[in-house]
Amino acid sequence: MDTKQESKKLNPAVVRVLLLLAALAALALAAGAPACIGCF
Amino acid sequence: MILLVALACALVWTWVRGGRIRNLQHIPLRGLGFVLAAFALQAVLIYLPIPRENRELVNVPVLLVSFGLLAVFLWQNRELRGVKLLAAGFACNALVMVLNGGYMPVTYEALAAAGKAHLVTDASAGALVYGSKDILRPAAETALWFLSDIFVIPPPFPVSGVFSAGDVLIAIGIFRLVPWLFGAGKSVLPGTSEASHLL
Repeated sequence: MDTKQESKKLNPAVVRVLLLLAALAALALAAGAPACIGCF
Repeated sequence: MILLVALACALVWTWVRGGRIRNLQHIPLRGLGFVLAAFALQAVLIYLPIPRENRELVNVPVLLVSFGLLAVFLWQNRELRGVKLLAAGFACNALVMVLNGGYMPVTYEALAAAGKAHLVTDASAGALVYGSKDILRPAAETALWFLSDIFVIPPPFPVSGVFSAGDVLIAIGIFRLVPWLFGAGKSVLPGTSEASHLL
């Protein structure tokens, strides 16, 4: 019940932005190839 | 880190130019699963210790699959602003990596100039650079050397490192794509027909 109520509170716009940022970061890291720690 | 910093700077630039979260009514990028899968494959490659003698056997096929996924993603989104630059940068990096055994070549001198010599266990050719797709290789033994990691940001700059011409194109592509996604500098929403003239 609590989980259901929590999930209802998630703002779709925030989820959208987080998903987009994750995808952009993954794209930059997967397509790029700089040499520095933790940067792929 | 350099490209993540570029992404962060692009977000700040987007905000300065009037881009807002409310303008992102939907994500116009298609095939996000492809890019996330490509990233996951490369993460495994980088952090899984592969014996030196098996590297080319494992690395190149996995890398090719990962690059294939990225290529599909970029093709699906080719009409979006900045994606052609991203694709050009990716192609440059992919080409030089495939021609050099599946890793991005970098010289020890460039790595040392960037203050990153501690990321390799030794200075010999073939040593992997920790946490990256890079491998130490002398310039004379590098195919398409000019496309490898040759540009150095030395310390004391906070984001020191070595990067390639392809990385520069990717960073520029990000700076074109991100503001457009958040509707910066225009009054129409991305993904709508009204925005098509801005591509």
